[in-house]
Amino acid sequence: MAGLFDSLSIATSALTAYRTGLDVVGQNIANVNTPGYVRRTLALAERVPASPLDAGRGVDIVSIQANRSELIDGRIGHEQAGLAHDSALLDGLKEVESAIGVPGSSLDADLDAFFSSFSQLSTDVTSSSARDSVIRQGQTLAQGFGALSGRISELQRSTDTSIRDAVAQLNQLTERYSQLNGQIAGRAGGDVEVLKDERANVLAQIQTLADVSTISGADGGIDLTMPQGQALVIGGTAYAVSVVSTPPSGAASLKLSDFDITSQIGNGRLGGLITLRDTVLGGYQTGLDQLAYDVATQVNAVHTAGFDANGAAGGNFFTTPTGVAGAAAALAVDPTLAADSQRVAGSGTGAVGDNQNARALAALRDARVMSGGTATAAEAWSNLVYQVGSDVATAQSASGTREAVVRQLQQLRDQASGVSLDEEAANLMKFQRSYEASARFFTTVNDTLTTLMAMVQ
Amino acid sequence: MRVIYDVLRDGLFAINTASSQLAKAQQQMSSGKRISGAGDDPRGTQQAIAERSTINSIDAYTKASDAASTRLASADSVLTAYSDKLTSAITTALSAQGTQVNATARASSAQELRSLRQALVSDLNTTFNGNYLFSGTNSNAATYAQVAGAWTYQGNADTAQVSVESGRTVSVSFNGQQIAQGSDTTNVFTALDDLANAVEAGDNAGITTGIAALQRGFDRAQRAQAFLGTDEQGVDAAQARLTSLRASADVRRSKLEDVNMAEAVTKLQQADTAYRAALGAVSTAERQSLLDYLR
Repeated sequence: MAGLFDSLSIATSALTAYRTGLDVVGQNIANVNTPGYVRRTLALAERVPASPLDAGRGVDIVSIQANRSELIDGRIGHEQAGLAHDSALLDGLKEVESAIGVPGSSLDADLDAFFSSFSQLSTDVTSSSARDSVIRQGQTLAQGFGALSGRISELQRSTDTSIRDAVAQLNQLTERYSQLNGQIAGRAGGDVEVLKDERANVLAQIQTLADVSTISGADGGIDLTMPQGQALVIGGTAYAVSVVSTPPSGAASLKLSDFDITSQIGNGRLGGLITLRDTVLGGYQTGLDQLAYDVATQVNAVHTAGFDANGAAGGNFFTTPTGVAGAAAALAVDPTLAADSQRVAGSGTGAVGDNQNARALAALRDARVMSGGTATAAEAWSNLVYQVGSDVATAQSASGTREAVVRQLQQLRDQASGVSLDEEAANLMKFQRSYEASARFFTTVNDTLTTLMAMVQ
Repeated sequence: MRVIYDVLRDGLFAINTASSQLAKAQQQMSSGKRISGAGDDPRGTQQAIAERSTINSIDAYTKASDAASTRLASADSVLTAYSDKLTSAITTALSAQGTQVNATARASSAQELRSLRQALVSDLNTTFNGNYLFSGTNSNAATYAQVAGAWTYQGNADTAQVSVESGRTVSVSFNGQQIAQGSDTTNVFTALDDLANAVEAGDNAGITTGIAALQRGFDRAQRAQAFLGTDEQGVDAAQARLTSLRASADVRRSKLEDVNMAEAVTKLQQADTAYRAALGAVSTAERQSLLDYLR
């Protein structure tokens, strides 16, 4: 049977437990706005009585637990990577979308004005102003192609710069991650929850850059690898991703331990930027080049079949493109023609008043001679615009869906790991009342002891 | 279940969503455009480009048919004057025929016939914007000129065509030789010169031959004018069709590109209400806490 001093010990253990409980509540409230903070809870256990006739020996603090949910954290990381990918892609696509403009104020207007100028020429084939107009519209069209191609190239270059920045950021983060990982593994069994909080934070940032795989170790360390298995962080060692400029464009290729991992990064901001630079923008540039190439070759083919105002055989209208690649940027009205509009080959017979060739050039507007003979110039352009618009709409929708999934997962994580101020207020009250009751118990035992002492005096 | 309301995540998301919808509705209202980028409606944008191309094509045909119409009207009036002059020449020649006409009257008639010939040459040598209308496609050469003392056609047999609508062309330059000579061995100007000489000489047989030649010239001019009139009617009909086609293409384009104002106003009001509701919901959620009730 325990004595009164044992009762004081019970009271002391309770006072310690509830003061700690108040500390835990305070810590939770203090970190309510700390990113990545996982709420802590106080785990208490009854002290085992020494004998069956003992009421007990008080309360023990078993641990201060961090309510971490690694399953949800992992899923959030994966979805965050997807969201960052979609956002990077969407940002780039939005720029292309604004570059291509809206119907009537884009290349479609230039193409139409160009073919209309031939139609106008056909009504008065000897008119110098109509001939000048054809050349001006040709130059405007060439400038339109060049400007749009330039914008896409510029976007590819700025995306490349963003890729290099993102790699530098990734290397910094993996370095920090490896330090934390090493510290956690080195302190097996110790209190590493604060370090784990920070590591989870750093991991979340890494995952917004690239979708990495995690491998948990028995010592608490979590190693990181690329999707194909190349090590990014093993224990306390980080392996930096290097950037190599690849000729001829000088675009950045990513290497990890001499392996080219550029095509492996499918997700995260880096994945989005690489897809944007290589697949999406590259595809648009090729489409635009093809259209410029088709316009130049088709117009040249008809133009060279005609005769100019002096009855001489027609030359090229546009400078001959060297190939599809780069055709949009290089499109230009033939300099000899541009210098003398009398060289515009409007005649089909050589007679000065004949307009057959001007009509044939105007008729190219409605001829399905572009894209391998499947589309008119306007249709080929509208197909490209549709591709961009459809990509934007898809990326918008995908990004919206990802955002909703991430938010739901964050809410799920908060249900397990987040700090609820209402809950903390209730705990605050609970621990405060418990502390007051324990103090009251302590006072009562103390008074009882005083009474006992008075009896022996 | 623990439900945690994060004002930054949940509250701001709701506000941002409502705010972007409001901005979109305002932008549509102020610009009057439903499509502000290809991503708003990719298929609609593609169709709008096609409609705009159709409209531009129609506009090009309209301009071409306007130009053709002006040239045709000019040629028409030339042929009317040409026919009138031939009629005068025939009348003059008829009055100079017979044995009762004295030498003075014949000389006067011959003079009138030569003057009419000059006017007829001038008619066929009419230019339009510096181009000879009746020289075929050899439009920088005068239609008829005297070469070695003979009236000679300088043009060619080709004619310039203008497309006035898809699949329909009209001639805007004409083969002057077909009008002035046709299948005759001499052209109407030489015939007139011969007629004037015959009138002067009192050669009744020559006058009869000359009148017959002028009569055939008149018939050729009438036929050419009839063809021209058909083309003019064709251009008018084409223009009417083009106007109607343009109007319907523009309606289709507008449906694709332009905003329906009534719908836009409703959307704007809805977006405004949603935005205010989001702001209200966040402020209400932020006000409530257990801490307010614990004393």
